[in-house]
Amino acid sequence: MENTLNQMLRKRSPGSGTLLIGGAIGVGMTAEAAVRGGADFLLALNAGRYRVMGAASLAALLPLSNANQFTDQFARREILDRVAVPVLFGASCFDPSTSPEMLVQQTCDVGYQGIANFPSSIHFDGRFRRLLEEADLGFAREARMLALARQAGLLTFGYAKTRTEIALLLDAGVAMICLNFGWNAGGVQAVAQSFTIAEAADRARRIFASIRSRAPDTLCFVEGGPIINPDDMFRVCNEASADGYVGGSTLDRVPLEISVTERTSAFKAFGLLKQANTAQSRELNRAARIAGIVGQSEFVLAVLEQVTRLAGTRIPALICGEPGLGRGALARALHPLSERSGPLVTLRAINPQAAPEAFLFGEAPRRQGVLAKPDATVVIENAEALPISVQRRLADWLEQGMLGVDGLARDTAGAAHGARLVLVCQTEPGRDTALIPALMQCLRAGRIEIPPLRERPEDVPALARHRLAMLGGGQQISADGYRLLLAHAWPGNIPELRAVIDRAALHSESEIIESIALSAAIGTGPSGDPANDDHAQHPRTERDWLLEALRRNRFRRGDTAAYLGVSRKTLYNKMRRMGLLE
Amino acid sequence: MAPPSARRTINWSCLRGLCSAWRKVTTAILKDYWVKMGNRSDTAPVNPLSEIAISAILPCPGSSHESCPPQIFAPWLAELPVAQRDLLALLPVLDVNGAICTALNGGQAARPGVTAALLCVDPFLRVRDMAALLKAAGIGGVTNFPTVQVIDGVAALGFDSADLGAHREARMLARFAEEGLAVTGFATTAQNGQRLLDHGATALVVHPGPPSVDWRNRAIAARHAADTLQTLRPLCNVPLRLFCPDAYGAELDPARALADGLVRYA
Repeated sequence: MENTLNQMLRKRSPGSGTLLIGGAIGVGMTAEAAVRGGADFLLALNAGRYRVMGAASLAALLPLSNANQFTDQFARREILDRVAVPVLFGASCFDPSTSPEMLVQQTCDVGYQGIANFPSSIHFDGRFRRLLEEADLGFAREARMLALARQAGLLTFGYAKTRTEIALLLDAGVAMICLNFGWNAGGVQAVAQSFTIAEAADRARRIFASIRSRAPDTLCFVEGGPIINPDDMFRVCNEASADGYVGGSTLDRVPLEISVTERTSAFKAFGLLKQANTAQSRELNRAARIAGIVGQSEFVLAVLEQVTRLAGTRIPALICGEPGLGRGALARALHPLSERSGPLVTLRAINPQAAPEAFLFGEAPRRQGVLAKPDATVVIENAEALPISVQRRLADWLEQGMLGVDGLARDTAGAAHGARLVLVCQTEPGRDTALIPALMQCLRAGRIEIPPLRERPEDVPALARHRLAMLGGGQQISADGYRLLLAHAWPGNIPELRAVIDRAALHSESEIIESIALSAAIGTGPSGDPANDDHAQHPRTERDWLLEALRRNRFRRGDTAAYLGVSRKTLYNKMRRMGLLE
Repeated sequence: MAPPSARRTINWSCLRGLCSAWRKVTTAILKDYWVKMGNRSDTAPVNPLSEIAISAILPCPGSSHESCPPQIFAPWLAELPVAQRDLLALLPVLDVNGAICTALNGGQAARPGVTAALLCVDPFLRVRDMAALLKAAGIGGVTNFPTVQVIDGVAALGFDSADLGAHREARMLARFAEEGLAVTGFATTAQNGQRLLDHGATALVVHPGPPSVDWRNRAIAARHAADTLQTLRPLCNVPLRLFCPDAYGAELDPARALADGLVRYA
């Protein structure tokens, strides 16, 4: 083991500029990936195994198995002899039936290159820790095991939290000392922290200085606690002059959680796109095409079915929803769908010049109103702006039509030849329309509610793809980009989505629109006026977008990552790839 | 000068007096030492409820309730050295729940009144499967023994934060109760006891913690157990027992007097 240790000592020599990285892992796949990524050594720990099984690292301290047997089993099968770096065995000294001598002997016999004290008594304190020490199952026993391991020629790696524990490790002549800051923060199963990054750096600096004053050749590592990404590691290692870092959750659990979530979300988005081709019937497709409705959510299918059914009747319709959902287009689509021979007439009630009453009912005795036109469809947009008197008259007109006393010509079945009324109303979240109850009562059967985009995110990919097809550039959105689009709330509904797609398509140089371009386009906001875009305001390449985002957030990476909607690690990787870290 | 016979009489009387006094003093010293060494005094209180034994072996199914006291079944105890079992039961040296499954899958059957000792914070414990296994073996109750509540300090905060602490124990017991099993809760504090009651425990056992070799630490733990019993008494109307690990002696007497019954290793 002298050679291995010397190699590591050379790596840490001044000017080498390299930090030693240890991977605390529990499964073969992670081990191989960590080594491919440049890990200098691996620690086979039961905590690593429990993490990939879905439990927190803390489970390593519970009576779920005999830790030594458990660790040895997976390490032999999946890690030993499969990687080209030293593998250290995480040995538990809690079992009184296995003496430190036996543990060291077994570790040598199996062929591990080193040994570490894990799971360790350092993770206990208070009364329970005192009882462990009383029973000689505590840290003194771990230090004894490491001293024996050193004598046996094994690479020794000692976990410690306090100065007393470090003193015992130095007495034992341990080659590598790891200052542990507790269980890792970050990820879904984050544990509450005792230290901030600044406190951890300060503590490591003071402790490592005292270690080096006593044993200059000892390699000093940091691990756990608030260190959850390379930035944190760099800060602590830099301030404390540490020789390296040992990653556990930060190498497997946290990246795995993020990666699996993102990939699944991306696959889900593509799955939804595929559903669009199969879920809608031909009739619904026709209705969707005429009405300009895009999407495959249950809401959209329900709306299309309702429209198709309404089209075959003379029932007056009321279409409600927030702005930007295509209510007007849908209302107008009812006319061709119902194959009425009369004209399509639209009244914008919000128009101050409109005289709705005269327009609808005419001015006796000379002019007939549009409602009297045979087989016409009368669409009233912003119907909530109609005067109350007109609303009352409309309600009366509809009621008379139902009773057959409206004076209009009728066919042999008794159906009137007059106009069909379609009202379009704007609603606000949590509030009903501003129409009078009598009118609402008449329109109840034909009411269609269009849900906002935030309530049916599964329609977003289809809408985005539809918009790109209309732009005609042959561009596509990346899987990560769809994930981003699905995560946005779209308060401006479809117009906002269209604007974002337009901006992202315009500024994306490749055929694939990446998430960072979409993120920047979303960040510009729906109020952004594309007409005013120029190069100074909106950078053109992904690198420019990144720089712009960094500038906006004063180069704070955490804030920039949050602003762009990506993880700190993704941001870091992109910055490195684009040469923004130098 | 007194005659020789009179001199002899006076000497015998003094000697008898001195012997009596010496016997009283040495008895008192030895008794005090005996108690301080952790042994039970001869004036220990008598509890109204029968004692529950924690045992690694199930009594034969045919045995009557009278011949066998109520029992907590903990087969994993057989794997641990007696002197350190209270400590080791919470350390990664064995699989507590695995031992129960192995024992019951091996065909062991219980008589009614047996409670299974489970590690309720086991993140891989599936309540439905375990409940089915226990019911099939004739076991009608579960308890959180060993309990993670004996881990204290910052470590306890970490366990709670990772959802491997006392809250998870209570939640898991509640799910066992929903499966129709009687729940006995081990509690180290009144707060933990109250939480277990809120989650459906029908009996409580106050745990004084693993015993220390130092009798002063044991005395502190015993006093805390007595305080816990006193606090819990007006809050609950379920049986309130006291767990008496082997190494505890007369320090636990005040707590024993407050408990309805005791729980001991068989």
